[in-house]
Amino acid sequence: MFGCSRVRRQLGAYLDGELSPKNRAVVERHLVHCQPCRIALESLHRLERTLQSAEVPPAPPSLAWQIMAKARERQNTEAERNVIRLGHRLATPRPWAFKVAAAAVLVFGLAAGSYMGRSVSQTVTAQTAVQADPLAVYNLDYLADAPKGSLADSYLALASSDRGY
Amino acid sequence: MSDQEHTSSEQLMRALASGDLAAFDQLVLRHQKPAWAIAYRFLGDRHEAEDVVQDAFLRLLAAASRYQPTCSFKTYFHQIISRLCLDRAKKKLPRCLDAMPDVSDSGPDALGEMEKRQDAEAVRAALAALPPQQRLAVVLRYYEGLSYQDIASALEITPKAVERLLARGRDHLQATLKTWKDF
Repeated sequence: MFGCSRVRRQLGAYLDGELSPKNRAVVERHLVHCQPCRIALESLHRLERTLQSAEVPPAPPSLAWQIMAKARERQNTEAERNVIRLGHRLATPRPWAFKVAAAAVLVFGLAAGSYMGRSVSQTVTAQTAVQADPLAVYNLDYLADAPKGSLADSYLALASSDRGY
Repeated sequence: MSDQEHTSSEQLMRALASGDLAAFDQLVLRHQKPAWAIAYRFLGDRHEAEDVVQDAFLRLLAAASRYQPTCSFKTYFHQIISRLCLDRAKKKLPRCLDAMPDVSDSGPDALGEMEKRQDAEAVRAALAALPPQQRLAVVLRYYEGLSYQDIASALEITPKAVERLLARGRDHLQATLKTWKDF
């Protein structure tokens, strides 16, 4: 059972609906038998009513528009600042960026060089294969069956020696 | 009627994070009234309240990209307003209360209006006399209807500390208002 002083301390929370169900029941039981505590509760009720009766003047009608305009102004300023920041970032030389760019150029150069070297060597090999056969080079296939000692045979021998074979 | 009118404030914050200013407009229209009420009741000055409300929304705009919906938008926004109000209170002493708007002296409701005005003045003066944290706890509880847990989140203290702040605040208010009304 709570005494008067403990109940008085809890009356505010009781009125605000903030007491646990158990404490609320204890306070309510006390109030049934205690007139001074009931008077204290009524006094708190009156205070609450008095506070709530005091009206607040309405907000200035232009307040919302002022806030909205200010927000747009802020956002535009922020956007401008971001553009300036980006410009600065692009304009400011960065030593590490040069190193990365140089490395990239070097790697690209090496890769391109290696690729081109490989394709040139393939072309040379193919040409060599073609050049190895004078009949194919000079389209003299039709002379291949010429009898030995004939003019065509001599021409063929000449063509082969001319290519260094 | 735009779709955003039916969107939750948390979703509007996500849209704002991706640069959607229409979402911001919607948040302003939705929350400016309670923001104004808290700031005005706490500061008692129109110009200061206007500054705080404007600052609060602009902070929201700046923080949108970092916003994590770990708590409700309301709690998050109350935190911002509360911090701004308490910062103002630290910088400015003593508080200077606005004069309440004039009401006409004639007409059938003149007496009632005058009484209402006097009540409001007395309450404002009593609130002004509270230490800042107590005042803010009272404003959030009695005018915004926040739970102790929500007030605790807004003020970044424990619910038990809120209970103590409110108890002391009520004692102060009763003592101040006793001279004018029987409590």
